[in-house]
Amino acid sequence: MAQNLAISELFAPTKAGVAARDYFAQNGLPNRRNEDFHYTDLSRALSDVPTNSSIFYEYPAPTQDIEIRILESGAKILGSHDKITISEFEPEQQTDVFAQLIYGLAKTGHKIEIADNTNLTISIIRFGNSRAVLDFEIGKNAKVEIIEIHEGGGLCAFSTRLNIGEDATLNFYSKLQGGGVDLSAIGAIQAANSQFNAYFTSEGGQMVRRNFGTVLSGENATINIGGVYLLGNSHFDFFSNIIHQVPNCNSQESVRGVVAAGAHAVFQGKILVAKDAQKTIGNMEHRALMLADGARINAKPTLEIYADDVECSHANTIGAISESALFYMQSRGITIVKAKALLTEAFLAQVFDDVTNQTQKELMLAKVRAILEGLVK
Amino acid sequence: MLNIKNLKVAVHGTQILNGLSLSVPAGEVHAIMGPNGAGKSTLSYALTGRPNYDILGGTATLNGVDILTLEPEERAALGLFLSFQYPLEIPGVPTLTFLRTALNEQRKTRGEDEIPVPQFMRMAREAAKRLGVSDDMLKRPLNVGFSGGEKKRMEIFQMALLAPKFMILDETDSGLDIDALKIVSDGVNFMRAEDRGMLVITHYQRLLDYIRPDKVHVLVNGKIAETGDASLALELEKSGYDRFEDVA
Repeated sequence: MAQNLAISELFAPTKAGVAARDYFAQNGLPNRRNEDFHYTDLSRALSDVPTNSSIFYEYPAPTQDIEIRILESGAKILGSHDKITISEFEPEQQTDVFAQLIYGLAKTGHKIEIADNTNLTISIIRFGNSRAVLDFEIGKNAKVEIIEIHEGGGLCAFSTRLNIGEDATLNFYSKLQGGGVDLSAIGAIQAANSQFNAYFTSEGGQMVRRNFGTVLSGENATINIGGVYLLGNSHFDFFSNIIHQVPNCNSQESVRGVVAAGAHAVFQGKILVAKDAQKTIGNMEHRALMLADGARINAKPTLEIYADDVECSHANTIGAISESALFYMQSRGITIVKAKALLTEAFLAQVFDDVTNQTQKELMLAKVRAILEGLVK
Repeated sequence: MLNIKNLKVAVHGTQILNGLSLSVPAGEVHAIMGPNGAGKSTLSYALTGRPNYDILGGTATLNGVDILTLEPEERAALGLFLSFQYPLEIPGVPTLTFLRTALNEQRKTRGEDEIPVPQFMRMAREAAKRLGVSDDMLKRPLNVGFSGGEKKRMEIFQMALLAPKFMILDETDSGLDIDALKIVSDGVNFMRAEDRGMLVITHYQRLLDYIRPDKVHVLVNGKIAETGDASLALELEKSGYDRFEDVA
């Protein structure tokens, strides 16, 4: 039965937009009945079109080689670089339901090709109601840093595909602070010996969902995910899917979060090890602290292993700050609020221990500290 | 200095202290000895304000200030310090960061200025040297991966930097070998001063060979059963606590 969707008029006049409008009119938006969206009911979140909230533009460190601004009209690329080739494409229909939604909403599609052996930094700033998709081709032995900042509210949709070449290194830092409804997906394919380090901080929003996937398709590729969420009265769902396709790859995922009253955090993580992917190392952990009553966390770590010679683990803990540790700190003269903030910050900061870019590390820790000031009471 | 009158304390609904009275004047060191379960640790936690240690009656004042209604951090700012029997590990918080925060928070509560970092580092280095605390211990998260002896030494190091007015040492000797006991005792004796008081809680007379008490109290069944001079500790070492159990 066809449905009248509040967001149907928002789909772009592209092949993907037309396909998405038809598909979702027929099938409705993903809701609790879809396992992947059990805790993040998009059908409910998008029953009204989210209005834009105010935009705070924090200019990133002025070291980027190119800056990609994503606006209501789509992506705009500022600056140029002789090792980067940029072309536009029309977003096409997708099979995955979440990708179909994002691609359908996207106003523009850009392909960014980075030549072999190139060192550079790219910033991506996403404003309110911004919707776009970006495809990156990262050449062999390139060293690329991408700094993503989500600034705007409203309904944002963003997808980026990363084709990471042999021996290439990609460091991806995301600061997700825009609130509203933010649907985003990062999907990578990693060639042999590539290193992909992805870090994020998130404050959540009305409904924030990030899908993160990578396919380790060349031997000795490594993926390292480190994320922190700090939620007040907000929702954040981190959905990750790591696929070990070939032998000798290494995946490490560590997500930590704190939730205050009214918060809803969701962690869904999967490591899939294909039959041939022997000698895989895959570790995944999610640890969260409840700062107050009236917060909710759903966590679903999954391992799906078809190879027989692997080293894989998952861990999941949800707890509160240790009262003994708090008393110990208070007995030394530290106020309870300060003690909680110190313990919480220490708990979260461990996720960023291995970040090599000291500037980005400091920026993320400063962000964590600043948000905690508002959350810890 | 510290005046406790008729103190009654319950822990999770069970009354442990049954009208304890004790007075430690400035400049004196008093020892508290007693059998297991007598209420020695309960006394130290009740005085420092641990949650779930409910005051059922009585008073405790430090230099005339009623401490029982204050938050633990306010008691610390007044100069009360507890050396824990089992010091906690604080993952992710480097020892020096922890101590500088504690010192400055105490000073803020007292309306004093923060200690500049270079001055703090000088104080820390001086105390570390005296107490055999290594640079590595100072850089590591507080107490994480420390041995039992290292944790106790770290308690005394914290005490040296925070320079409290009144110190409670809860079985600081447990888990220490002879060399560590010597270092810790020297550290404690270094703190003895005209305007400071100290309560030393211990099971064993041995510690009192190093830290000479002015008075020894025997704590049995939540009350002081007897008070004497240092020789009482020696006597207890021989006779045990049986005769007090009978009295109580």
